[in-house]
Amino acid sequence: MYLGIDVGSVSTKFALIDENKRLIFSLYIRTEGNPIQAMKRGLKMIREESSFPIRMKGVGTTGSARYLAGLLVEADIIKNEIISHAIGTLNFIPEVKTIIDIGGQDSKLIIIRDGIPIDFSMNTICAAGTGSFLDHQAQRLGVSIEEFGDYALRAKTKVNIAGRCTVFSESDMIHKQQLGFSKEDIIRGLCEAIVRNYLANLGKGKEILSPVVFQGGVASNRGVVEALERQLRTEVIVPEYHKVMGAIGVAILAMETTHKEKEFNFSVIDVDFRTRGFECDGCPNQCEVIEVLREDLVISRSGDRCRRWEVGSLEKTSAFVEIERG
Amino acid sequence: MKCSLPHMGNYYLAFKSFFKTVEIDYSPAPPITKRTIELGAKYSPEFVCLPFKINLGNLIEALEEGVDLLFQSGSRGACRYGSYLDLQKRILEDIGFKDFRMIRLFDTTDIGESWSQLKSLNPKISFFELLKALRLTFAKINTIDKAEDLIRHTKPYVSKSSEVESLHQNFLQDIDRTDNFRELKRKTEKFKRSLKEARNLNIQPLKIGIVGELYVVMEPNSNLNLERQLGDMGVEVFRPLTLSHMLKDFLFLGLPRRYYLRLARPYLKFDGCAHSNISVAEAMLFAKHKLDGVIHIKPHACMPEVTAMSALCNVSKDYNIPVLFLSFDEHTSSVGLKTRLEAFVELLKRKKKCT
Repeated sequence: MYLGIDVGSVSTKFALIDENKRLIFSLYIRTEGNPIQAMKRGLKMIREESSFPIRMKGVGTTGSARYLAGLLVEADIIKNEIISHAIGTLNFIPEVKTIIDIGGQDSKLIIIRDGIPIDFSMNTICAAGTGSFLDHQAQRLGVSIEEFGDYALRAKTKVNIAGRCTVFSESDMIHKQQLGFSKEDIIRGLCEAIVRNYLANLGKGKEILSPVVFQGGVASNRGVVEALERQLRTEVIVPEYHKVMGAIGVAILAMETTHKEKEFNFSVIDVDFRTRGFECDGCPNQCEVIEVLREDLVISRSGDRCRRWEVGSLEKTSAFVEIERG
Repeated sequence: MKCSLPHMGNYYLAFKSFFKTVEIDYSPAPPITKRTIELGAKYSPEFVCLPFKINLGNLIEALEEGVDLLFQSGSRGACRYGSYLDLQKRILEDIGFKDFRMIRLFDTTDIGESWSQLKSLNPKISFFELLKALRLTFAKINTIDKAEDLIRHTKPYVSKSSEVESLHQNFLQDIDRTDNFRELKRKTEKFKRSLKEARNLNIQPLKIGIVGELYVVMEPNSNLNLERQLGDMGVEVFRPLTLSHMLKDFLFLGLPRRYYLRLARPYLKFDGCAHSNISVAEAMLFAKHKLDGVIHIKPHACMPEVTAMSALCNVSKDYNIPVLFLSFDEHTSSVGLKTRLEAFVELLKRKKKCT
């Protein structure tokens, strides 16, 4: 069995697959701003809920906290989310040509030809058109995020909402709301705006061919799915395991790299992991260095530009000793 | 009177020997750090590009060190860069710096003016001496560029890239210490040999070409050390755009530029100013030389390079070469950059394996 863990900004995903790349167990929980706690919580749930004995052959991590997660579970492979998503989707839908992924904090577009990812784009500066924004607006309108999509499907008229920027979008929404448009119409307008923004930002210069697969947390939102189909003028496939596709992908990658059998150590749940940040005062760059500690032992440092704080080679330097004392 | 000018890469070493030869007191601006960029961004207009902000930061820090004569490069007309000097001068005055002069360095549109300004700074200087100084400066610029190019083509072939970096640092110090042509040549040969010995040519690395806006391409502090990151991932980086390349263009009366413009004509009919057409032409050449991918970098909201981007999309399609677009400003996160670079490199590796 192989485990894939995808630690994203908003949610943490776990996927267990067997030798035949079949999904046995999956789990989707909220990260709540604390990736370490979220991982421990998830692992605990896997241990408790799985009625079968788990013999893990490999573990892979992905997502924006992949390095931290990889340290925690001593992963066999740490891969970026683009490749993981592509591998995961190709396993279920081998003929896919375009993957659209809208997650909590970022969105991606992956172009696949003949079963190989050949091009990708990621949203750059703006968070408009991601899950967090939808979450925020759902809260503001007093609609739970699960029902959000269904509201859009019930809309009767088309309301145009600016989707370029969350700030404009929000003020536009309030404006339309005050004019008397119904919640349903506004939500549909919002779904349209998000898709428009996505296609304008990420789809620029890219050839979007069908079959198109839509995944990530926002794919649960049927309003956005419909808006995508309308604007792309093609059918959009939402795979069954769309929420955990990245985790499945990295589990498959772990399978491709490791062949040694070992008992997965669930004891990491009880090990004390901490992170500690400090500002290096070696030069005016003032890099923010982040340390990961396992039971008071520093196992990793990152964030320094000059590599002065790399673990291992620099423990001996006087600067380090001084900081430890201070 | 003490002069200074903004940084770009390691070229301050060459300017140092120029000012030394023409006997003008020069002190390099403090190295670019987070503080430099923050200072620059604080006093810059909101939508101006990153090179402006970093340059301004450099100038402020130089003035803080007691410099009273500032040079700013930039010939008029390439892009808004041409007007930076005047705007930056006003901003510096508004901040409260007084009693400083700001001069356009090497104005290609008005060489006579540059000469008379130099004469006013050091009346004793003869035209012969100026030529001598320029020759040394060009030689140094050339050496600096050659060394960086060697580093780019050595790193993926060695097991420990940090050793190559320390060799490079030592060599830069050597360049700084030498003002003699023969010595410079000897040191370069030695450096070349030591790098060649370290290489293991059995490795077949990925080859990626970098094109884009000149400052962001040449100043590692503005692109979050893109080249070093790629080198550490075992990628051989190709980057034709250097200062010596641009100087050659000037010396050959813009003929190389015309060649590039013609090359890019199928995609860009008109000159998009600055380096836009050259970026496109270089990407085409990379594709013809069978490189695996191209990375296009630009400061956020750089007009000429935005023009180049849409043409590059077509180049990418026609030549079947993947292009990654990256845009930098002072908020760009290194984590996001790393994810994109990793994904791009991985993608190219998979693509290469399958063909």
